[in-house]
Amino acid sequence: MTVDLMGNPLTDAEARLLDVYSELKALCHEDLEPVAAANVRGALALMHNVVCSLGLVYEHLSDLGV
Amino acid sequence: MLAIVAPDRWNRLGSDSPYWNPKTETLDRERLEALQLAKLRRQCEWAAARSPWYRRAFAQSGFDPDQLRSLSDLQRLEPLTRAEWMTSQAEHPPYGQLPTIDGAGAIRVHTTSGTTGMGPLRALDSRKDWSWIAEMWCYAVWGCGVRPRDTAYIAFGYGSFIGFWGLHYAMEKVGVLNVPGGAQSTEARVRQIIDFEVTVVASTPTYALRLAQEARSLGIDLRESSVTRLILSGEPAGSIPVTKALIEEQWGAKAFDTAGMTEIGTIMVFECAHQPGGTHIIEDHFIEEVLDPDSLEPVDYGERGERVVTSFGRGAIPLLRYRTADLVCRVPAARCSCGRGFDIYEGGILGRVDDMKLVRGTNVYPRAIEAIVREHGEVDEFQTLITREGIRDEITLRVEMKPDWDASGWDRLARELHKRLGLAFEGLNFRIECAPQGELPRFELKAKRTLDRRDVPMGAGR
Repeated sequence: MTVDLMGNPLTDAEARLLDVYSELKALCHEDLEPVAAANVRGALALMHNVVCSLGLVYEHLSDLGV
Repeated sequence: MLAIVAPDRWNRLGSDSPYWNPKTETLDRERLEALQLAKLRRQCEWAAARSPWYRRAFAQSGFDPDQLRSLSDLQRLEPLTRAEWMTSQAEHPPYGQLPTIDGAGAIRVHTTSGTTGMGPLRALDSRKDWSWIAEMWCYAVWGCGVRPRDTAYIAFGYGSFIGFWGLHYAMEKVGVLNVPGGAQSTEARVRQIIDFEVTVVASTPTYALRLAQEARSLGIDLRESSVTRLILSGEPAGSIPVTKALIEEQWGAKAFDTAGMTEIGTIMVFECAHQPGGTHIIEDHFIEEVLDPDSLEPVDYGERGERVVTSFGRGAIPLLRYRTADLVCRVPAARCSCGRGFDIYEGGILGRVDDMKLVRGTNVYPRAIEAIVREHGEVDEFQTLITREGIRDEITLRVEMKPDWDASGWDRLARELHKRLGLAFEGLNFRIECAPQGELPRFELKAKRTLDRRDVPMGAGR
């Protein structure tokens, strides 16, 4: 993804934030220990605020248990 | 060896910005609406795919999310009412058919107070949704100038009513030292505010006055305390100028209005540090329409109408075109000098579409009564009582004065209130009564100062 929801190119910082968010989503599909599974989901919920409020992504995460 | 980060460094993180989210708070109208449309399409697709209620509602309205070309296309969807939501909940307990998840996919449920006779409304939230609820409060907290160096006191019961729960987590997110004020007497709360050198207090407007009253009785002058800001919510009074001025005078602090509702889980408007006489709509997370409550046609800027909200936040309960019954007057963002692109509700929430009382053919608004009564700083508490005597409606203002007030001034005050209320309400003849000390109820949440007893049989208890 190279643009936000308004069609603006992503800044470097936005691209990095989106990478973190994507990595957390990917981790939700892994078979992790409870300590990791729960805290990854907690972190993903917070990162969703970042990418959604910056207009980078809009989606819901209930299929990932978030 | 780990580096020690000085507290001051944390205090400076991002704190130069007056906006919590500069990217979207300063968008121009065209870009803001482009962002809203992108979110709206996805939210409608989500609702159609996951919510049994919306799947049916879309089919009945002939509404297809694929056909959304502009924000005005949303108007093709019939607004949702609270009664419909409650009926769905009653028919499909415990949560109804609006939610996209069941209790197993949620981490919280909050309820309304259930005063409508249909029981409480139950609102589910997922982990992500709950995090978003706090995020909306962050716009308000940061926007009114609260920073990590502050200490906050939330004077709230921390029960099943959603109230200030989101604010609590927002304070933590911002990095504020938080003092939860649940399960405390008013005296204990006042003492904690002083003892912890609190700088920000959150409460309803009514309870802010109650705290000030309690402080006076304890010999504490809050104007000499560390408190610099109050965050108000839960009642329209936070934007009634005289009430707000009274709160600011008694606390020696600035008061900032916010408003929210259980149905959206959080706040949708906040007053910024520039205090423009109203509250900014958080428009990157909500579409707020203002409609004529009878025709459901949009009204222009500067005209009063009913708030109808579409929220992008909750995935567990998508809320599209929800009729709030809140009375508002929307004006352009440019009315404020803060630089935000978010439009403003002038005067905040002006009242409820359904809280107007008709007395002898005159429309009586509780908020307008409060605005007049609060001009008199010697009044401690008040109550409006509407009764029917024979075939005639009567309206009585009961006034409780401050303990140190000189009773010899009563006749003059009663005459003044009678005159001002008559002028405000088409000559309506208000009876003015002085209530004994401590008789009128005090409120922590959602003050109910207007009692309509016209349907109560003679002899029934009050």
